[in-house]
Amino acid sequence: MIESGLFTWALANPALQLLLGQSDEEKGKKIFSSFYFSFLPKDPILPGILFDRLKSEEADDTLDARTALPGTLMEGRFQFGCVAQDSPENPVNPSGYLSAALLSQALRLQIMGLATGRFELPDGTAIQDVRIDDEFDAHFELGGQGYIYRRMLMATIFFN
Amino acid sequence: MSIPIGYNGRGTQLLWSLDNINFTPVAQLQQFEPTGSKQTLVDQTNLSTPGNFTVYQAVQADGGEIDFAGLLNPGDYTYLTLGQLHGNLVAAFWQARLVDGSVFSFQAFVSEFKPFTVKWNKLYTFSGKLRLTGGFQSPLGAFQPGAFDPLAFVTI
Repeated sequence: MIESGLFTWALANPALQLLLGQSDEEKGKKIFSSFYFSFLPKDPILPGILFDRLKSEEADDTLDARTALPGTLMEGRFQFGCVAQDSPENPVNPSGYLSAALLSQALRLQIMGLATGRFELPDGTAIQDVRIDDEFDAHFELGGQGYIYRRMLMATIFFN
Repeated sequence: MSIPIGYNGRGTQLLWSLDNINFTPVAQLQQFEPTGSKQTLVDQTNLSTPGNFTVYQAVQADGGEIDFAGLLNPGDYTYLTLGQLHGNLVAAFWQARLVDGSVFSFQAFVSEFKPFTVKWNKLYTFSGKLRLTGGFQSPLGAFQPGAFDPLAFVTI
């Protein structure tokens, strides 16, 4: 399933690990967990990625009779919300807004790197193509201890 | 009042055969459409023709072409065979099987064959044309049931 594949891929990506937050237990280890599905939990580890699937069309269709077998090429649209808070722990960039923007920028490049025609995610999902549809700021939200800044990266991924 | 009867395209097949017995459907077609057969009409109007309008005589019927296009799977045997039929100038036997069970039979050349179309933001496709030689055999019977009819050339 592409969701689990992207989850594993993103958290294991060295370029993204540089920008993802870690809990106290995770710090000093190569452990990352700030990739969230659909909603941010209470007191999330930030910066992180908030993931949603927006669309799942079949990439194309034919006259042939269909079967229940998997393998159809899908055209999925995904939203990667890069979220961050102001943090004095980041000496390079204490601004939550810029942390979210930096993470989104890195994520954009890494996702584009999947567009090789034959990329395979850790779960076995084959990615044929990726198109970046949009990247924009969503309004900040009130977090548990301050504001959460959000930059949204929208990508269309062809996969099966 | 009657209930309208209609059919969707999915399940419709375009099939080729070399022996007119064993037919193979072309896989992954997205559409196919006859251009329609056309008659050649000769103007028969002369000084003796009654009335003010032109009078025609149909002297020939052309079976026309069938345009087809599909989603390309470059390794598919049924697609690759289209290129072979084209290159070897074969007048193969063909059938169009509609989803209600109707079958239209005909002989045709693969007169045009575009093995692939590549666009940066689209899936690969292929397309081509069949050129009918002779006419259709429809569920009602042959479009061209008999031999040459000299009566067709009777002057009005």
